[in-house]
Amino acid sequence: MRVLLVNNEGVGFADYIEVNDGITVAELFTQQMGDRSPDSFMVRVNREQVSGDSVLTEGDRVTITPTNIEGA
Amino acid sequence: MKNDKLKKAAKDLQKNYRHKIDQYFGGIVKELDRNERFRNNKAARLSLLSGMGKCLTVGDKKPAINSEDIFELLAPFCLDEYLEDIVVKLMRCRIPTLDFIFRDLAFLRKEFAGIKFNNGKLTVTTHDVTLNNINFGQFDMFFNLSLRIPNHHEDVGVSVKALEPNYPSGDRSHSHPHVEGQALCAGYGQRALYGTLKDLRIFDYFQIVNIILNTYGDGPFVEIGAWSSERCNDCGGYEFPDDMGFCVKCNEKYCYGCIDSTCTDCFEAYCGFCLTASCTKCLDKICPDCKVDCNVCKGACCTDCVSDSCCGVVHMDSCSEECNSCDNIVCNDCTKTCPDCKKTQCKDCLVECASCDSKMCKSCATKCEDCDSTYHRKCEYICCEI
Repeated sequence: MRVLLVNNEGVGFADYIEVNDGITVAELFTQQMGDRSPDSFMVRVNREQVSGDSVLTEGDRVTITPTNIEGA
Repeated sequence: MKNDKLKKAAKDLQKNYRHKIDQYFGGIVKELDRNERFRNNKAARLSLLSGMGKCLTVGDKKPAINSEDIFELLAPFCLDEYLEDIVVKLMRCRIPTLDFIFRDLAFLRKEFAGIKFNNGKLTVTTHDVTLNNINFGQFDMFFNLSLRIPNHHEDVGVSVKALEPNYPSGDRSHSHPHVEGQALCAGYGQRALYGTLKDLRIFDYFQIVNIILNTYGDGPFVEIGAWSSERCNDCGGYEFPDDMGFCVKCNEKYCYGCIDSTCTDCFEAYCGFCLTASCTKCLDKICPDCKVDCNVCKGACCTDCVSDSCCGVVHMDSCSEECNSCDNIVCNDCTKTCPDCKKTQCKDCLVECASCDSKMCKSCATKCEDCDSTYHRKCEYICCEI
């Protein structure tokens, strides 16, 4: 299935990606972010903050945003 | 802001954004028209313009044309890298649906303290921003589509305004370590913000700005320690509380540069306003409580410069002399000069001439062996005449 992934870290990324049916938020995070700590990021699905075990559905918008972004 | 106003705001935002995209595309076509290949290759020109037109369709789905196709359309024209980059970026923009924008606004209303839309300017109010236990209060974050959409992430300008500014001491330009005036320096958030502007992801834009406001990073305009500093009551400089002291008399705060005056006798710390007297002899600072006045010269003096009293009154040792007869130190009031030898004598070392009644030192006096009267040698006084 397709979900819209928005990664607001660094240069940013916003595009549809193909994922397995029934994938959870935590699994998608691990897939995209590797061994980065989930505590350092806020993950939203369709703008709502959700738990890691939430199951994604077709067309969901998943946003990953760092909890700390330093200004200059 | 109620739903009907949110819907109107969403409509205005989408309309403004689309207008901006149209303007950009118009500008790009003018630039492309300067390219000879673009002018002469009608088929390639038509394909590119058609591709650009597809990108102006509304939808939050994947762009109607992907990057490879864009490069293929641009290949015949051999554009310079900068122009090619702009074309690609703008052709990958999405114009979101009204529903998408409305949901962004609705979630902003839910997550933040307030939301307003006036004259094309969207304002979202944060909750209190706290960094290192210092409360900077709420900020208005602005999103204004009447300004141009940036071509590059370095062009992204973020505008915020503190509702009740908490300035560091003596500074009215920085209501936050990363804000100067109303400009927030986005730092590491710059590129991500550029992405949100390109796609009109308004919710993400404000979320990122809010996170930047709530993060204390390296290289701020003003170090956060400045918010803990206080002002010296003398020089007006700003120091942290640990680097300041109190004047024991007026109890005001001073930096250590201005409070380092201590009384030479009691060693208490005074400010320059309260420690004004100096010992007339040694010039050391002396507080009002420790100061004594010399009864001879009436000047102020410290205890180090006060001589042992010879006659019961206080005097500076510089207002005294040594008696040439007994070597005692006596104050100037208690010294006399022998009229014969002109040397300084204390009162006890002076004797009175029985002839002229004037006083002279014992060395200059002569004593009658019979009656013990003393007189000047110069006085031809004959006593006890035979």
